[in-house]
Amino acid sequence: MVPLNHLLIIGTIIFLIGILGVLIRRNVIIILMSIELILNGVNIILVSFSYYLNSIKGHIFVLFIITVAVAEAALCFGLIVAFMRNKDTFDIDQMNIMKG
Amino acid sequence: MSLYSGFIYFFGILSIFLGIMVITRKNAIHSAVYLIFCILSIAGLFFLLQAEFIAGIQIIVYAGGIMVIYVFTILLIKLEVVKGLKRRWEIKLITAIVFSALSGEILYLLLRKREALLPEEYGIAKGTVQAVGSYLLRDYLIPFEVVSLLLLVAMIGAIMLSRKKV
Repeated sequence: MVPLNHLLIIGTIIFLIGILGVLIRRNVIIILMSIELILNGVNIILVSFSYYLNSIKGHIFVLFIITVAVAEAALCFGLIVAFMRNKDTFDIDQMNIMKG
Repeated sequence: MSLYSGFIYFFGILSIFLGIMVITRKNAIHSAVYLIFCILSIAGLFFLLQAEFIAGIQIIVYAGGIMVIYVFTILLIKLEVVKGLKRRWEIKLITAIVFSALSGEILYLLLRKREALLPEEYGIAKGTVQAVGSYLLRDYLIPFEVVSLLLLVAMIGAIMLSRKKV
């Protein structure tokens, strides 16, 4: 059988890849994809804990996380399309309209 | 090593590899395709951990729904490749420090030799549609309704944002 730690390490590495993507990329769409990777890493950890503790309460939280991811994707793409109408770029370093 | 654990390691390493490919591609549409396959291999991992309902939802909602939104948005707006990782060196330094501190801490805590307090026998609870549904509608009814309200608010917000005159 697979020890619990190996599954936790897989989930953590996917979470860290997502954080690295948010930190180093400048394309807004790839940053949003990295946020999806972060949520998926957390989902792996929740599901493996609920497998090893004989409980399915973790699955409920995974469902809620997926719902929040859907809402976030829809809203962020509305924002990106509205932004692209005013400024013609994807670069996150150019998004400084609200800078004081 | 049994076939079962071999499949778990296979899907785990495959999803890590595809995740690295997602954040290193220059073209956004290539990243989207790699992300679809990464999500599918994570769904395979969920199947092996007896979360059948979650795996189905992962395939239907993530790979079928969210990724369609991503690909459509990439197609709708003018695709322009943002060049390289050109940033000022202070930002690069801060990024490297923050990331290595965070990852070092988390991986150190996970790699320590500790005995976990697990039950003798695990893998009994199966996440079938019946089990998850009865939990969702009995014990977690109010969060379920709140989440539906969240979806309604997100829908109204997306419609408001994408009108011509905001």
